Amino acid sequence: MKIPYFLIAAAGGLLLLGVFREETLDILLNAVVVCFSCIGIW
Amino acid sequence: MQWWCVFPASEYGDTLGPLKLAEPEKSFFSKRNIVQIGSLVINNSYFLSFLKFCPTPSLNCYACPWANFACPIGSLQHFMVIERIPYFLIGFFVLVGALFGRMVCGWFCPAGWFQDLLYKLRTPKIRFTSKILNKLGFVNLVLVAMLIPYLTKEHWFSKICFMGLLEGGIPLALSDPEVRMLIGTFFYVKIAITVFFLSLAVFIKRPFCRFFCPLGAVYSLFNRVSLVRLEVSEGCIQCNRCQEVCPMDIKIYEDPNSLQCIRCLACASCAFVEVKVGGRSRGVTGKSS
Repeated sequence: MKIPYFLIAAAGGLLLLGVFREETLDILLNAVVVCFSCIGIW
Repeated sequence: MQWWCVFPASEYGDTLGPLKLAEPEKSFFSKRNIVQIGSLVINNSYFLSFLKFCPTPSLNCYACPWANFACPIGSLQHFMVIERIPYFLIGFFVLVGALFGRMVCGWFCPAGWFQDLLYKLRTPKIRFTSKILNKLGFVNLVLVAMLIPYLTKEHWFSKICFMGLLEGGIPLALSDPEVRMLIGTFFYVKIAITVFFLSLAVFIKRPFCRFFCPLGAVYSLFNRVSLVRLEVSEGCIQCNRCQEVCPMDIKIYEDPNSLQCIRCLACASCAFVEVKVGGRSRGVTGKSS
């Protein structure tokens, strides 16, 4: 397989599914709240 | 199987091996270095922070006050903690992996760039390769970034990731006195972890990427099927110059699409190593003949 069409198509499908399930919102909410214990400040 | 070898930095001269490779790694202004610096700036320039809903392909801490994107491993842990399947994130990994494989590690990862810089310091170097330790990234991915966060509801990989301290902890502690007041014992533990990895990187090529990085482990799964691949022609005389210039210490002729290969293309300046994009050859400037 020289160009991974199947993988690219599968990735597109998963990305769309994720967007419909509002996962990007989850990622955003997690990213904007700084976890102090994660960065070493406890 | 593992082996050790201590050799002075000066052995990285042009005289090793019958083939003279171009020198992609020596200049600070090499193409790859410029892309790596560009990636660090794009990841942490603040002005694109409205894109924080999207993960960046590389390991970049989103606790950095100027981070523009989300850390993919941090996001993965978050989904494990809230017990949801991260379809978007899996799709993102598959897309990046299918297009580039581990090329992301070689060209776009600030953590990798930082280790590359440290290795350039003129000190005696230790050549350390271990097929068993190479698998640690997968263990980290499954256990530390997925299973343990799922069971304990804590982001355990973030707690040991040195980028968290470098890009998040230290800048925040320096800029905010209230954050400084919160510093406890764990901050010093994290400093010790960071010092350990950074000092190791002075003597060993990219130790974190080779033995610990869960993101590299994810992308490595796509190395054999990704759009960008390497090929070694039959004329290769196995002079091992490829291993000398390789930031991952790989003999590329043994397996051109090795899971460890980060597609930095340093070895592609050899006449026998060919870069294939979608099956078609792509030229590399400065190729030896």
